[in-house]
Amino acid sequence: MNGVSAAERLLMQLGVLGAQDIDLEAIAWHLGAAVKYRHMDAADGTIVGSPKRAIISINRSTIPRRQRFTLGHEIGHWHHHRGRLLFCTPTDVGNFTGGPLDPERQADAFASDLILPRYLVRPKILKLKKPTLTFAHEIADEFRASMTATLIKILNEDFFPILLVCHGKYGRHWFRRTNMVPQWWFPREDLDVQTFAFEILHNGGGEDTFPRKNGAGAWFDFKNVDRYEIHEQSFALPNEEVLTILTIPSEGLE
Amino acid sequence: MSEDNINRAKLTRLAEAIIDDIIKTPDVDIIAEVGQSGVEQARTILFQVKAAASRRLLAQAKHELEAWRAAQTSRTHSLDHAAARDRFEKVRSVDPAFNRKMMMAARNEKESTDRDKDGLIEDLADLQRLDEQDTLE
Repeated sequence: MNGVSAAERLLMQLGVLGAQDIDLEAIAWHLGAAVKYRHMDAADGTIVGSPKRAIISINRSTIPRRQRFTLGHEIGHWHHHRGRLLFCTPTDVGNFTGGPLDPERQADAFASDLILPRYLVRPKILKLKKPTLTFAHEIADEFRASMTATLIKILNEDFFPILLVCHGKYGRHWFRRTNMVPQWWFPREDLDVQTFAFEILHNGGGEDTFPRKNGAGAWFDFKNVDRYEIHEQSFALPNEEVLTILTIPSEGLE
Repeated sequence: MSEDNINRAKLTRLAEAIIDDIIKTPDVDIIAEVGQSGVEQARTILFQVKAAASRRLLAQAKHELEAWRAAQTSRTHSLDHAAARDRFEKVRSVDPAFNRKMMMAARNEKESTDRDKDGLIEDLADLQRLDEQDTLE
């Protein structure tokens, strides 16, 4: 992914030089949108807009980082789909299963670049030797972002040979892979009992403290998969899901 | 034109002439006069000024937002709920996608979305006030 996105250009225009400068409410106002917070039943965020002005409302019943991402998402709608009345449910915001042309995903991408701009995050990633949850936590805390959004940002840099795989109790929900990983590294639908993630998902574990080595066969089922060993590190997500970083060995990239 | 304005106009013309003179000066002449370090220093100052001007935009936005919120808090609620609800239903009737989504949300949540509807109605009223304020300004 190269070039500067619309959200990043906006931050640069506003002189944002660090994570602490990313004041989403002020940015929204600069774009003509006022932000309000209230309790909602079925939405995470709403936006009502005229051609020049908008009122964005955020569900204050959700956790602060969720509220922040939702606000970024609604600012994204204001940028891409101006003048509309939109009602964003929890499945619309930060749902990583849709395609790039889906308006909700466009709003998510805008939010991701606004909260975790590449020009501020990339220099930190380039200093890193390997992608771990500890590092992702540091970035997520500094930018007040979710772990999932942070890990996707790290993956999108295409700097490490990794996959992110999200499983629920009844199978795989979504996965992402860096461009440097060949497509035959396609994760299995089921979560094998041999994976460490299985323990976290089914027996209520919280998080692996370090990446652990495992046979690639626990995660993939292509021919001769047993030749490879991968590293996995997982953490529990809300709603009975587990998210795993899988690091592919260099010999598996040829 | 008052004496003050005449002097200000003279000063502006002088400043423009100086800037024009600087812009027209060839690079080699400037470097010969101020040295490479002077050019770098000027460049740094220019970036700092640009960044400061950009940050001022954000600071101004924060200030305006706070003022708007303060005005909202002190505002006596004169919202005509019936009129605002009519407006909401009108917007809703011409936007089937929005309508469908609200209905689905209500079904999925298995609970009333009346609170969400009321919130949107209030947002529409706030939006109208913002638009009116812009027109007045």
